[in-house]
Amino acid sequence: MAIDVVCECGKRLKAPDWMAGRSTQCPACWNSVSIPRPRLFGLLGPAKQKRGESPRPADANTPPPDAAPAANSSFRPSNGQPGAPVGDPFAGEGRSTAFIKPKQPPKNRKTTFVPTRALCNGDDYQPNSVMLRTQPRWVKLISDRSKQQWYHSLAFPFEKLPIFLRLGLLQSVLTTAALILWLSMERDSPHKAQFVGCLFVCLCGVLFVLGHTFHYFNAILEMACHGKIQYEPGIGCTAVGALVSCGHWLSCLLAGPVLLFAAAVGFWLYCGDLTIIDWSILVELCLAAVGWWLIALLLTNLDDSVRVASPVHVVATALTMPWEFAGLTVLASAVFLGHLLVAGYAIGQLHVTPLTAFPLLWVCWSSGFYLTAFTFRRIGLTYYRAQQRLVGRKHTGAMPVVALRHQGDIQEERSRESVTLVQQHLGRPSK
Amino acid sequence: MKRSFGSLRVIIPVLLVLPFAYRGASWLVRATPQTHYDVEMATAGRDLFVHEWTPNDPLAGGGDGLGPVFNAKSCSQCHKQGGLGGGGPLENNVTTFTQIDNPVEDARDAANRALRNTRNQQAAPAQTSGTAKGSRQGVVHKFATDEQFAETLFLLAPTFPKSSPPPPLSDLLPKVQRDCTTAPNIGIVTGMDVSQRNTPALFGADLIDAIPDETIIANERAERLKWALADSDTDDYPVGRALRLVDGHVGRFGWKAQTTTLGGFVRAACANELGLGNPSQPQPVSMAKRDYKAPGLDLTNEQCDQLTAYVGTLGHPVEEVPDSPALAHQAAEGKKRFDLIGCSDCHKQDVGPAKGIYSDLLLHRMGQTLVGGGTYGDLPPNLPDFAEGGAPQSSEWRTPPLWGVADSAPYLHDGRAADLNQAIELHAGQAKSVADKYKQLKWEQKEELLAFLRTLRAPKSAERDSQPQL
Repeated sequence: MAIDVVCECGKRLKAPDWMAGRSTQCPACWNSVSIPRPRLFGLLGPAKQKRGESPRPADANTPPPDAAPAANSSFRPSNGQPGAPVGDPFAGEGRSTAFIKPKQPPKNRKTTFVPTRALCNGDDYQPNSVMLRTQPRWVKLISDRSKQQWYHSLAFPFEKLPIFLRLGLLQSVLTTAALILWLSMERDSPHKAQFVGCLFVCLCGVLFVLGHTFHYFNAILEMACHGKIQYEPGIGCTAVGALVSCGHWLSCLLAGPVLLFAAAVGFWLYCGDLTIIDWSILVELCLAAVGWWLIALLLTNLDDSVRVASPVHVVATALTMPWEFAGLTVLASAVFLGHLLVAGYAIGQLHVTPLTAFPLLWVCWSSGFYLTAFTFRRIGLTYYRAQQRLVGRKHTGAMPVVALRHQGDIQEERSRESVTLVQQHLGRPSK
Repeated sequence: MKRSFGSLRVIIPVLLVLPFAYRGASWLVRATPQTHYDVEMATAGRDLFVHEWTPNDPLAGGGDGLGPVFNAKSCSQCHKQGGLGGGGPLENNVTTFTQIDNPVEDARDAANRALRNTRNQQAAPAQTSGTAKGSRQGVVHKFATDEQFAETLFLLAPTFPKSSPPPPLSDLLPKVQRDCTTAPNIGIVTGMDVSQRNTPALFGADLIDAIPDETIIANERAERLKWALADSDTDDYPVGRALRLVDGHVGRFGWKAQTTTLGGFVRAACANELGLGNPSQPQPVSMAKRDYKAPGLDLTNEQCDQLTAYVGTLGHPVEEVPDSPALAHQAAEGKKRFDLIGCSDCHKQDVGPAKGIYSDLLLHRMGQTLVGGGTYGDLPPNLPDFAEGGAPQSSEWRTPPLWGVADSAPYLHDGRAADLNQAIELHAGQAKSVADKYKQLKWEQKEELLAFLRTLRAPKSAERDSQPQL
């Protein structure tokens, strides 16, 4: 769900949920725009504007739609359409004279804007809105941002580390509480219903927190699949968004990988003492399950349909992927299995030495989030490059991205389709 | 990397499928019945089972026959409750001991310890006797073929009276469980544990023998999963452990699950209870006369196999539903209660091919009131070596199968519980919470549970036979 914001200049902006509470710049006037936080996880809508706060949510207090964009804006409308809708950066020149000279953006702002991916394909592009993302400040340190190494993907989620630690702590607390409730529950206890209820609440809490991280991982995957790996989405979404993301991941899991996971658990139970052969079987089952799950998530993120998570589509996609994807699947499986083993050990030690086991569980959760973000970014980029090779494009790591710097420069898209769309909206004939 | 490596496209799938194929083949081989008992062998075994052995017995072959130290003259003398092969009464209990930090050791003890420490089957070279400390454990036999072989507790520690026979059970119980009218505790020295073992029933032993090791290990893992991966060395949750021996197999026979096969269990019992040495287990040496050596083995492999075949054909205990509808309903309610209060956490109804066994065959910690060390085979050096997790602790006991429990009183490892109600109440350690729940039940609910346990009877086909007297 997006957050509607109206800048002082009248431009209507639409920000994704994860930008709630953050500041950015209006593409029209370069004024600072703060994205308000939705109340109660978005259930009650955006927060009311505080005094002196420049951003205003799109509510009844929205200023009359007669403000014109900045005179020196690169999005000066040129189609000569009087009375065009306000906020349309591509509206006509015969606009109302209500003109506000935009403030000069501060020099130290690094925020840039990226139109939605819809801009690239033009299917659902809405000229009244611009989706906002942020580019980390250190990206400029990369000499050629069109060519990124694998270790750059480690740096992007690094700024989220404090959030991962907080989420990991929350998950550890919820997990420990759930375990305590499970162990305290007795079959013939008169308070069994209360225990079950509390246990259900704890599990819902775990899923809810996971839903937030799943939403973040989905954003990473989607952006990377479209080659937009220079940008880092934020963590945070509404309650509905978290539940939707959680349901998305669960549906992909239930579409097939759950059978392989169940086979692995059943094998571990009944195989006796593990030998190298048994470990090989467990690793292979885990590898297949995680790989299937990854491809299903990738396809459903791109297609927005659960049907593509079927085994046929998954196998077809797997066969088109390069060997690098197999390596990434091994990495993802190693991350998953490794963290599972460590978490299991930590849970077992909670009974004996809780003071050492709880921090271990905390670190396990946090590092799991971090490494998953890294893995998803790499997987998305691998998919993107594989697709580019399939269609015969010779992109040497360049991303079809439209980025607007705060200095007002326009960096044109490198993909042909995106340039065409931008020119159309500017009223210029396509080349 | 190009995806057109033709040979890799063949090699990689083969390598991926190979572990599955190997494991599947091993499971198929395991599924085939490993043992079957010949009727003639079982008949011959029955004769050996009821045979009353004597010193220099003609059936003993090149050995000295019964003894020199023994606890009974025939298998049927102890295994008789509910029919041949059943449990035994209190008077047939076996006294065992565990002595820690023994300052005196002999060459054989040193070899035993070296064998345990190095964890391999080849005996270490015997060392000269010295004053190095060690531990000993074994059996104090009740009888001897000659006075010179008679074993007493005095041989363990000089604090015991010189001619002290194995003490009665009442003297070995913790103070809280002893009847105050009996004689006071005989004053066992620090570092020594003397306990007794009640004769277990042998019904259904073939089914227990047929349980794959993986099934018992699966019980262990399932219990760990159920109790949030708790370890077995806790007294808070009923998490047991499978006792693994150095040969890789899982023990399932004996009070401490120290024996892996029925054949090994039979051979160990023949040697340690009757003094009949066999190729797998030499006869025990008397603590009073350690230099005595048997002239040969008393039993051959064939005789041992015959005994094993007979034990394997003893029949399986049954769950007899009462004819009366009221009693049947009571037993059915008791079965539900059995599960509700948590008895089935350890006393699982089915384990592999053993249906209705009511045991997970795992070692569980039963608290300090139920400790009992000692095991077979301290002398001679045939003590089984234990892998992963080590030897069973003094408070650890294998969950005894409850099938046939109605016909195998008294209960617990030393028979201290005269009836089922007392046996349940004496559960401690990992079972303490369940025992507490049982104590809080209403009288009617307790009766229901006991009514269910009383339906677990010895097989009707069990042979009743008059027992020889000593």
